[in-house]
Amino acid sequence: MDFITSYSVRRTGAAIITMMAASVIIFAFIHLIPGDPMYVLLGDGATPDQVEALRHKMGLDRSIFIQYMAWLSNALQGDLGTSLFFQEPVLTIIVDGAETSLLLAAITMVWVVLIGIPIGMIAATRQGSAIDQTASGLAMLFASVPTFWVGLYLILIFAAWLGWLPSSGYPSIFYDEGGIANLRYLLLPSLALAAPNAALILRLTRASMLDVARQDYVRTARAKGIHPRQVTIRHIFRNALIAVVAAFGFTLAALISEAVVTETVFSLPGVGRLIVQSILRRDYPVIQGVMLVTVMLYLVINLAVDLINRMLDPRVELD
Amino acid sequence: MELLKSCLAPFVKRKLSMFGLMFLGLIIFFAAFAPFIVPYDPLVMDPIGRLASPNWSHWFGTDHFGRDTFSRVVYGSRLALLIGTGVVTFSLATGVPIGVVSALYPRIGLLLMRGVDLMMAFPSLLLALGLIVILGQGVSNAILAIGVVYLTTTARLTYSVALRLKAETYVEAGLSMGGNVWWLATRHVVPNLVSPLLVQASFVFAFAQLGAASLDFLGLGAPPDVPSWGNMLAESRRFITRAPWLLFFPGVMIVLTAFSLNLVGDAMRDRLDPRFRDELANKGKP
Amino acid sequence: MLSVRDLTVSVTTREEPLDIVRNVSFDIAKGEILGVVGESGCGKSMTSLAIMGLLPKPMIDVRSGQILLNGKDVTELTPYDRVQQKCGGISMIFQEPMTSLNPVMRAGEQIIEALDVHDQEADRSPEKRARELLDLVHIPDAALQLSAYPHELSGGMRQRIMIAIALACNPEVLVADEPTTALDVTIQSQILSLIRELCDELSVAVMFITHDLGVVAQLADRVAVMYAGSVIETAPVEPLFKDRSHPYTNGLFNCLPDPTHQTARLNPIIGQAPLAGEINDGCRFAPRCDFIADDCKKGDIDWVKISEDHQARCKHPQRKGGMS
Repeated sequence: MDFITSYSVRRTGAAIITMMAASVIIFAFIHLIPGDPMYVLLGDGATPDQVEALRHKMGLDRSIFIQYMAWLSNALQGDLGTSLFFQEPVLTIIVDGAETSLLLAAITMVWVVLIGIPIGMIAATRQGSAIDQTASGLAMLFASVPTFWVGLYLILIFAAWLGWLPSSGYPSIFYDEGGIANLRYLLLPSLALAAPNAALILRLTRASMLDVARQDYVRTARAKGIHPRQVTIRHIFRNALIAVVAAFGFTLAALISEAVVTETVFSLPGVGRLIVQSILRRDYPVIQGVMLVTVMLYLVINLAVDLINRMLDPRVELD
Repeated sequence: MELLKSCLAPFVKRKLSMFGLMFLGLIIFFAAFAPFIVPYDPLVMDPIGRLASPNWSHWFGTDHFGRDTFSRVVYGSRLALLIGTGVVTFSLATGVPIGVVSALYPRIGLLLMRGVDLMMAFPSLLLALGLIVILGQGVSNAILAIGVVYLTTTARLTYSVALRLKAETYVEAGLSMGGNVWWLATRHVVPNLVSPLLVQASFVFAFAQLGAASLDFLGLGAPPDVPSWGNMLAESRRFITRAPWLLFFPGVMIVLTAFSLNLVGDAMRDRLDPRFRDELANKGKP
Repeated sequence: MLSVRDLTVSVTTREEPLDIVRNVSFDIAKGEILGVVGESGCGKSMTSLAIMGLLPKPMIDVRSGQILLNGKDVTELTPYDRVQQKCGGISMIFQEPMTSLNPVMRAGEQIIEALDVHDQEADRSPEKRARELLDLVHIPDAALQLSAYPHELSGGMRQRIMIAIALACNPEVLVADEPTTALDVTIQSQILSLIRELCDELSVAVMFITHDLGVVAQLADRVAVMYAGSVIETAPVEPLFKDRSHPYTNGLFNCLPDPTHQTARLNPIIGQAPLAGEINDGCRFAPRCDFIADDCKKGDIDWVKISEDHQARCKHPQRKGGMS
């Protein structure tokens, strides 16, 4: 199958190596926090006995390398430690929050793609027109807004003043009553998250299309006498898309970052809010677990984006 | 005078970027002369006049402690500039050397850039948060944390530009004539870096605003009593229905500052980009 | 048959529009190759784009003049318009085959795209027709090449694909803008023979733009020399080489290094061509001309007939010869 090329194998290999390296950093993270890691992990109220027991259990009397391997093998088996605050396995807590965060991210991406790409296309095809100038100006404006501010305003307008939508929380669409209709809890947060990212994708689509439109092969396409719309879609858009898809990796990174704040604003029970609260509560096992999971997810997404890029652009071969 | 004119040229043509430039000037003015402009001390509380909507004595209203919003907004510009400058300086001071060294010495370079790639494997806010956990909260730590994030993009940018320059024939010629690496770096690589880095700096400055505001909002940046725009937004949260102006003014400041920086950065990029895209009309050859 | 009459193309600027092609006229008959020579910036590319209808409007556009294809006025028409109005085809091949082909479409798809528009015969499948075209341009192993992406092909192959695409449009006129400049000399020669062959076989009128006099000698039936936006001399190829009259044409030939003589220096034409914005009265070549006279600097320069079908735009044409 054309898909399993040497490129995809090499790229996957590189991703795995990066994951390993990142895991080292996350592991070392605990040891970088000022203070004895034992107290860091157990909290200040731990007794010396508990400390010694944990020290032995974690093998901190062994070399750092063995500690890392132990931690890593635990992690790979799903044991990310126990939350200081909840006294429950970290992985369970993360999984609980995953539904919210993943759904939020998915819905946001839908907005970003549905708003950013078409408007960017239109702005590019009507360059210089009133539509283009308005769209570009608004896009630049929205690219400069903090998502939490947009979020707060959305709450103010749609939840407080108009009462149309809820302002906080998220009952699960799978487990809680309400079912699919509970998605409306994610409507405002996803719009807030989508605002700056859709703006960036809009600008990128526009810029990419304008760039491609200047290329020689577009001139060749026109010379063939095909319909202008076909030129726009088959030649200009198809090539411009490559740059836009490549940017999805960055967009998702931005989403992950901004979701942290957005979940806080809307009190969504997601992984973002979890990490903020854990930082404030000094719940280090959770912080570490979330970082590991998030980074791994991010790397997987980047890998997927790269491979899709390869499918779109046959020129991509070597590193 | 000529230099000044040519610096201003890209902005004069576009009204919007002119606005951006002027707004930034306003911010700088606010930051520099804050103590003299503000009608009230930003920290002074006035329980009686709390949550007053905008009126003649309090242009932007007051917050839940009765502090004058306008004065706090003006003082907030100081922090905004401080953070922006700090982040840009840090990222340039660390990123540029890494990028240049990586380009000029390929073996170390490979290692360094792998390290940078590794840092980029962490989503930006997570990286910043991680550093905050280790370093603790506070303005200088926030600068450091956000600075590290943009160190990576700066290093990458510098690296790719420096690599490209290294491959330019005139650099090869210089090297083959016996020019030593450092001389080459200063005479050829660095001057060519100025324009892309200048553009990069303005965008980093803008992102630093948003990043710092986010950190402040989460309570992980500037301490709560410091009048930063992010802090003000965090505090306004409980009162947004009663006192929407508390949400409006600090937020607008953040948006306009970031927006102006983006406009300025865009204008500079259009000007400095050697492909004169729409400038065919300058009497050139067909 | 292609007729260009008094074509003027200008660039709109904030002030006056600038003419980059002025009052250009020439005819190309069926089966004839017209070589258009001139230095960079003389307006030959813009003329070709104007003929094709591919000028980057509204910035650059035809200000006045006509382009007639078999008598029909096609001046303002884009390639798409020509298809809609069934005007007959004008195709173009460009200088840089690497960048002139869509990198994400296979070669075959790009040819078939053109066939879908122009090929009205439904009895053959597009794939078959595409393979026939590849045969016509001497590309072996058609199936393999058709499924290849442009970056997987060599420069010569890409240019042949370009020619195949151009032929797929059933052209009556073929405009070739320096198609061999970016290619190796050996490939260059092959492509030139190909163009000659196709021109003869299909009776297309060819406008071949180049700055290489050697190519002109090899390929062209007639020649038009352009300078600073205007045609300054036209002739069939032999008379031009033997009896070149305009001082600029002469200068071009003198620039060529002579393999037989042992000279220490080359003979460039001193000075630079005027920019589009510089308008001076009289002959535009005057500042650089060795034979300048007082009346050269005033008034329009009309065509002076040198001989049958050979004319030059010069008040004092200097007939030189010698180059074969």
